[in-house]
Amino acid sequence: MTLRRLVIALVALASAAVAAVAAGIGLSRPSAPVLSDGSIAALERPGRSADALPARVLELPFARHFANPNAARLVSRDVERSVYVVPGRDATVCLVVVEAEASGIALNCAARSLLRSGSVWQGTRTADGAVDIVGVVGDGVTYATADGKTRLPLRGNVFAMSGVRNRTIILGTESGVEAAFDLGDLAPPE
Amino acid sequence: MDGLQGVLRRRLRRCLIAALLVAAWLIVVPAASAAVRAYLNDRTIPAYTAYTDGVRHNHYYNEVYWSPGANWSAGLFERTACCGVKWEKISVGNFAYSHDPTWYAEPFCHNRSGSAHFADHCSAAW
Repeated sequence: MTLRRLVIALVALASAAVAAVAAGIGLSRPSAPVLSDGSIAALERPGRSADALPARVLELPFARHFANPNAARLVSRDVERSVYVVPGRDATVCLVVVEAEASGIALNCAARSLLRSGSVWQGTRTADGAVDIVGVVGDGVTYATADGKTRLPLRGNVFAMSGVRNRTIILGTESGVEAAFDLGDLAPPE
Repeated sequence: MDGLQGVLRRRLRRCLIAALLVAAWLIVVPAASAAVRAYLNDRTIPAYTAYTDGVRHNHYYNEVYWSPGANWSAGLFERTACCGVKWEKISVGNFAYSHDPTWYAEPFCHNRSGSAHFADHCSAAW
């Protein structure tokens, strides 16, 4: 065996040993609990006239990221807002929130794979510094909780929470699987 | 007299056409003057950092586009000289917010995640 081959073999052996020790003491990244396969029943149901996105949504430049605007589905409506889910381009899912106040329309698209252990969500800062959150979840997610409060039961692939202060949201299924996702830095901009 | 009436009729017609053109201009130009600019292009935004080019307008639209399939925390807001931060929104992934053009403000796109991320563009319209 040449010296070069000996060095390569030693390096490979050392790498394997380090990997084995890391796995043994829990340094390897644990896989997130799987809540859902990412399917969204709301997108599979037959369309209704109420599902049509308002024309002023389709006129916005961001609408180019929708894979098929006609496949949009209205998942929630109240006096404050209407919430739509839309299949997005590039294996994404999009959330559209049409607000009653200030003609506001918020649109985001994120990797659909997020639904396996979390949500595609968006939120608004309130006057007291907390955030109001709305999000789409995959089939099988039955509750959400934030700030250690009571579980919020979910229906129809959507959740909405007001006055959230902790950046971690927990989602869960009927079978007891729970996964947490991170809202990111909630410090208000200076 | 017919000649004079004819001249007056022609002048009246020209005045009416001119008035119509002015009215059409007043209707069309405000819409046509709506403008979009990218205030960031092909740039990495560090963790927990917001970016603006500092240009103020009565914006009605703000957008951040990272890349296809982006899945980290993002934010958009605008800052006024008089009254602080307005129109603050947060989300995951690529994101846009349209609203009434109430405030004369500079637009920001915000990387709210703990890692630096490359942004294809941030753009605003007014």
